[in-house]
Amino acid sequence: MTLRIRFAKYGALRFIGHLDVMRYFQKVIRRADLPVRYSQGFTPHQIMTFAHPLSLGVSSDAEYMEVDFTEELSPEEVFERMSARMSEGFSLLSCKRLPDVPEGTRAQSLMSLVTAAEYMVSWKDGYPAPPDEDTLRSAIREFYSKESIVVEKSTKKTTAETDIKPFIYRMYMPGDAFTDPSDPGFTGDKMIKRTFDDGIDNLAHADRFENGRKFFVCVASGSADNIKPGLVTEALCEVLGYEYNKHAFALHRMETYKEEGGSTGKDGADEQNVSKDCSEGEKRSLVPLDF
Amino acid sequence: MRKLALSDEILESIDKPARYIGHEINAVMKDLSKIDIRFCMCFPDVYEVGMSHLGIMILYDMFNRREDTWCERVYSPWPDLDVIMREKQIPLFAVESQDPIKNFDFLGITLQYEMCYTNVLQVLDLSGIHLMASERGEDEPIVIGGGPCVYNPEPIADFFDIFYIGEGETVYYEMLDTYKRIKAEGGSRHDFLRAASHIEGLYVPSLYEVGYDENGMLSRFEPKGDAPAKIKRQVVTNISDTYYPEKPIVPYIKAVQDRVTLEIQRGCIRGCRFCQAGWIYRPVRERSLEFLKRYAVDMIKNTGYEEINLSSLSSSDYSKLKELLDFLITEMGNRKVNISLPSLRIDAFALDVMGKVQDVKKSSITFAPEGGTQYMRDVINKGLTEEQILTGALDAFKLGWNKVKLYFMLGQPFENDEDVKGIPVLADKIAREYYENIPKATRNGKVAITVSTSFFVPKPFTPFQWAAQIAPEEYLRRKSLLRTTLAEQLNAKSIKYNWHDSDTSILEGLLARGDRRVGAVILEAYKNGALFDAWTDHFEMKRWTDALEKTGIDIDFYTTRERNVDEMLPWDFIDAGISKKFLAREYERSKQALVTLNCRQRCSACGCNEWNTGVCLETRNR
Repeated sequence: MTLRIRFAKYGALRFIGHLDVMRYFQKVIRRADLPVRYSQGFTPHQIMTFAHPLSLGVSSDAEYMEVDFTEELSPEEVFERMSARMSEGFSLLSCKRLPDVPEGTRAQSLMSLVTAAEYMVSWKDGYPAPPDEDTLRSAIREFYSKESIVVEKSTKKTTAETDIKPFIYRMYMPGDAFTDPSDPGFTGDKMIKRTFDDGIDNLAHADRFENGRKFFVCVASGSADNIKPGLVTEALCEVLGYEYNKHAFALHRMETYKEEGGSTGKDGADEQNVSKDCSEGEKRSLVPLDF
Repeated sequence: MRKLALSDEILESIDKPARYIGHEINAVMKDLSKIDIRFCMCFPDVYEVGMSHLGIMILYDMFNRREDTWCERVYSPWPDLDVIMREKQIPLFAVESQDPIKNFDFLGITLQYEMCYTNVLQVLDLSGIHLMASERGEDEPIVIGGGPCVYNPEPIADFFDIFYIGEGETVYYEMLDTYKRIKAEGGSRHDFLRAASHIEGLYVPSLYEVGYDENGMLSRFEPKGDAPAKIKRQVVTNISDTYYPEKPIVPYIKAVQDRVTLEIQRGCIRGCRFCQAGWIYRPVRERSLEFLKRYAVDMIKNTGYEEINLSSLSSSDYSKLKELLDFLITEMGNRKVNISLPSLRIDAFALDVMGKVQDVKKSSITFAPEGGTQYMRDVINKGLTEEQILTGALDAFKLGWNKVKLYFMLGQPFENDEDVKGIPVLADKIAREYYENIPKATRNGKVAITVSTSFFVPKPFTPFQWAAQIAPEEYLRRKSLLRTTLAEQLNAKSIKYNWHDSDTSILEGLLARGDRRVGAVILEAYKNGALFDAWTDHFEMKRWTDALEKTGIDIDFYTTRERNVDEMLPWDFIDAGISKKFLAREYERSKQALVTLNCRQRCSACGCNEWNTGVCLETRNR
């Protein structure tokens, strides 16, 4: 039995790296004494996978993992037992049982499902004053209507010029009537409140700041294309004429998406990564991983 | 949500910020309004090292069982943060409450190795506590030192208010009660220190005066006023009915010891002459099976760790090891928990157990002969024969192992070139056992033997406390001799040689057997930038040689000089239970390469039977 678990990471534990998050949850499951499935061999490890690593310092209401169990348990029971063994800084948000895959086939990995992630980018207090709301709104409009946004993207070894525009799904502000071209029904406010009827508040664990200035951005994430929200922020700051300092922004991941119709584990035969250029008017619709 | 002492910006700029955020699983949080005493426990090294230390876990649990006390933790900030804290004047804080250390009643620092002394000064300095105890005011924490280094606390005596000599489980509660009483009476810092000096095991260095004769020899060590002349080492006499953590703290980042530690016994029966731990934890005391079974299961349940480590100085000497392992192999196997068994003597039983708990193909077997020839092993009283090593190795090879680790020391007293050469010769003999007895068809590749040597440093309360330490040049000569001899061996290609740095060994020697005058060198080295001296990447000899020059301290006086057995030693005021006469006799026997039987074979009257516990009761009842 495989469960897909959504959790939040926040507060001081924003500073725990991805590998340590994995180690943390392995211990939570052991402390909760749950019948988790182990790999074979002399040093067995738990069958546990994660969706998309979160950068150090970023908070989130949309982290996902999948865990295999050897016995049938109710998702509610697993949720309760794990939650009782966790510390402040991690909270489970939902727990869903995945459909079983036919004998001999393997479900598509959680990691390869990830297509995009949505972030709230907030100005922190104590840094040069953020632009006022209208300035920011028009800057976002100007920024988003550009044909291309070329930035320097550096990896450990190289620095290369990349056009990030195709990998930005949408950008908006609170109260924005701005519509996502691929989803005529979409408005910023709808997204912000996550009106999906499951009681999850996707900003519940985000830090709040007195200045209140923030915007939202959905970017391509995952193994095919991956754009960090910080990169978009940096490029936006150029339009704003605001001197970019990565420490001045708080990032919060609100949602992690797969594509509509994408595998939920049933028939995951094709794991190939098709580049998801979202500028071509052919944007596929995104649904949260817990759908 | 808790407020952190470090800003996001700082946490985002430093390596492993999780070292400083606290709030680990099983860390203890308390309501400040309901407690009287704030105690901060410090391991003066980086978090991952400090979090691996069992002693702190035991004391942390013990202190926090008191409702009136909140014990928290602090570790040395890594150099990247150290720079930021100095620049931004951020006071050092405890990881639990994130409150400045300066607000605490006590700062307890465990001293596990001498090379951490500059880190002690770092912790005090960053906390805003005066480095010199004599300059501390009423509102500064009482700074206490503990751990094996305090068997000669004199080189760091000026920096501490109190040293706790011996095992922490015995008199800390009495000390806290005394503190509360004196505080309630409106007493001063000095009043408390005077009262503390009357608690057995507590040494208040400011209440003693030392003097030196015209040759610079220590000639006077006297209590001022009514402080006791001798400080008695503290020993837990009821080892199966004492404090032990049921819920050890689980760090978020990987500690050096990423596992649960089960201390199966304390002390050692062996009496190896070089080994300070073998003497200062006497007599050996075994914990009961019931105690160990209960804690093993509880700790695994409460932490979620996937490995349990049996800790002791010599696990094979634990008399109920077989029963304990039978239990653990079943119980831990069901829970998919690995068992790690360091310090096991390789014999048929050990190999059987290791075969059950380890992957034979990947793991190695370890011997610590410490000396390359039988003569040398007799000098140091290491009761391990060549035959035992070769038989053990061959048995292991037959069972599929092909990796062997060998540990030796260079520069022990009475070592000759023949003994140095004996090290590679022994390694080669082990390789021969493999190639001569294991048929090609069943071999799992080549045999891989690793020889590691460290340089011997004489320590207080061992029979070698009077011995001359070898000069660095001589260390290096012996190392080279070992290498050349190794190259001449038939199976040289199967033997890898690692050696330890000699600079730190000579400083360790200075700090281990120094007197109060050595404190000036430590302070000066710290001012020169010395920090994390136990880390090869951070150690710089020049900071220390400059400090020696500036303070005019002659390092040879403390290191390469052999002491007369009648000489007054800086640590003579400590009553460690082992008589000086006994140690002198052992030193004499080592000169003659005479073996002394272990505690189970025969009591050698070291003096530790006064505690009426552990192996001393066994031998007497026989």
